[in-house]
Amino acid sequence: MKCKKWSQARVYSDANQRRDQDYWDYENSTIKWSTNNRFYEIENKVGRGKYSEVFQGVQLSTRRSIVIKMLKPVKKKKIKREIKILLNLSNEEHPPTSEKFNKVSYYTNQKDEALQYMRTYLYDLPHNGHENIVQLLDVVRDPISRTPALVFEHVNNIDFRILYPKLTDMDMRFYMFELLKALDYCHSMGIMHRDVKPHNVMIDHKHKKLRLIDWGLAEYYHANMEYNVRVASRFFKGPELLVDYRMYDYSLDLWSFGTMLASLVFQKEPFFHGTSNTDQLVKIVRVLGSEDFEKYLLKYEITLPSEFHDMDQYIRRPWRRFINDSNRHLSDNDEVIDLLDNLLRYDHAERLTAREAMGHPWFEPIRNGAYDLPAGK
Amino acid sequence: MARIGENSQERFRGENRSPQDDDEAMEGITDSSEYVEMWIDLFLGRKGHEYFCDVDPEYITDRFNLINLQKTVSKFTQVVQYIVDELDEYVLEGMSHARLEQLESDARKFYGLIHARYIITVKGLQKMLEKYKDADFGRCPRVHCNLQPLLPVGLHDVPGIDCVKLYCPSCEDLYIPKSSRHSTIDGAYFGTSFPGMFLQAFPEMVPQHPVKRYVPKIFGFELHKQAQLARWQELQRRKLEQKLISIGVDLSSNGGYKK
Repeated sequence: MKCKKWSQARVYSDANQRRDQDYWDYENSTIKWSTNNRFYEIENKVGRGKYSEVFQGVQLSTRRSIVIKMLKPVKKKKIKREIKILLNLSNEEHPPTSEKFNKVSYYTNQKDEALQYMRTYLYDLPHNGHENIVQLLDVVRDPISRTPALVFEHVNNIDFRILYPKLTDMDMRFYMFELLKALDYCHSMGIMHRDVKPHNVMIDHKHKKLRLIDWGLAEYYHANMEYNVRVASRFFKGPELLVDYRMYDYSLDLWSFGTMLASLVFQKEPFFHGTSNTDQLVKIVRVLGSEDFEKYLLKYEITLPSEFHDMDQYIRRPWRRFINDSNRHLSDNDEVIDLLDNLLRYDHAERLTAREAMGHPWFEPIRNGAYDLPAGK
Repeated sequence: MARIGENSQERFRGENRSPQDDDEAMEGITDSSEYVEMWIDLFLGRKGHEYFCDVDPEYITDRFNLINLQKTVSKFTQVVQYIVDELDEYVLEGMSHARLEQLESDARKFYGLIHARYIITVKGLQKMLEKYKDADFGRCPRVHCNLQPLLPVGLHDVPGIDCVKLYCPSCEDLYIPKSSRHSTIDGAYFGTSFPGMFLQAFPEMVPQHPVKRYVPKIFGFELHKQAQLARWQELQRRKLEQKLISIGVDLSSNGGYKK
């Protein structure tokens, strides 16, 4: 164990413990590959990642648009993890988040140091967050090339660089709430996404449909377990990853969510624009300040890697300083500033949980149904 | 009778020049023809000339076969004599180097043009059949043609326009010869009619039309647009097949050529 000071998620910390080993023990799972290559055909390439090539295609039987994600050769363990997680998330008959909310079983971490961060607001209604997870349709392996391929539903996404600048204040509250529902659902299932960023949030703006995709870095959360910090994409990496604190939890996703929200309301993409992992932390400290950063290091007894030793001292920059004439209509509002302030915290335990964030006053109009949805939703 | 000019030089170049060789060469110039190859054999032996068959000297000397070829070369009678090795030695000896070269190049051209006529005669077709069976013209590069032997063809009957092409009777398409030494040979030396005549004459040589085809795939998944088109074409082919069978056409016979 490398972490001197232990840490545990404030909520859902026993999510996997409560389930059968079969649910989370992906290493010992066997994948049921289908050889249904012929059921699907490729139309065009839509993306490429470090670990995969992604194509849009058709399911011949239904003429339905689908997405085929071909996995590049990686460790079998990683492939098993992604598939197991997707199957768990897609096939859950009783999504915990769609059932009556129970506050006691939510705040599983009963230690005082965790309970002190409970917020006065909390979303305590059932929701359909499970629908916001991209649906896995098939797991195929070509018998000849033996390339694993995952078949997903297709979402008519518009590139976020085009869509986000067009969104209204209400659109943003709506989609951010949808994203929180997705996060609350996967956290309730004992899974951290670990790569939340605009590229992985598909939005079909016409149908007001949001899907959280790319579960390739997602991992099962077990209390007091240390994880690899080489996850997430640079601009969205939480401080815990940058200072090499390995006992992180679901709250990592809430940091990434916070940086997305900040980039939306301040119209600054990405919000923390580091040129390297080291610089990424500097960019964060320049905003949140050195004082709180040192408190954080002290609390978790973190020794900073040597490359940070000559880091300058920064005074905390008030959030309102980011408001300018072009983003004022979105950002000049106490609620969103307060929400951001409660998400972008060094200390992962201080960050809002997904449900707490959903209960935040900024989402009031969404909770009250003031947002127009297309019929049938 | 000796061969003079480019050919004779070439003939000696590659060999070890012992005094004996010189003697033989000297002898050749005088009267013995034992060591001298025929012009046609030399021509056929040249690199790149593998596609040509040997044309009977009788065919070449029959004036009837040369109608309308007279104007393609200067001093055509001399050229014909040269090709069949009947040109008087005195005449040859009296020629300048430049004239000899001209004669040689005229002879090659003339041989090519007669060749185009000859290979669509009964005898010529027979000779080309042997070469076809030995795959002297190469094999089709298309995978689903299963190494089908090719046939040479010209796209023009007039020389000097385009080089020889290769026709595959299986996929019924044309190819550029693989080797550059073949792609410099004039297509008119084989003519536009050869493969057609050939397959008419030997319908049993027409392969069954291949129906297998390639559809691109990416990691086992077919590409939708290409696959859609291929499916449609396959459907049309089957429809046509059924129609032909219903009107009594034997599909196992060789596509359009009489047996």
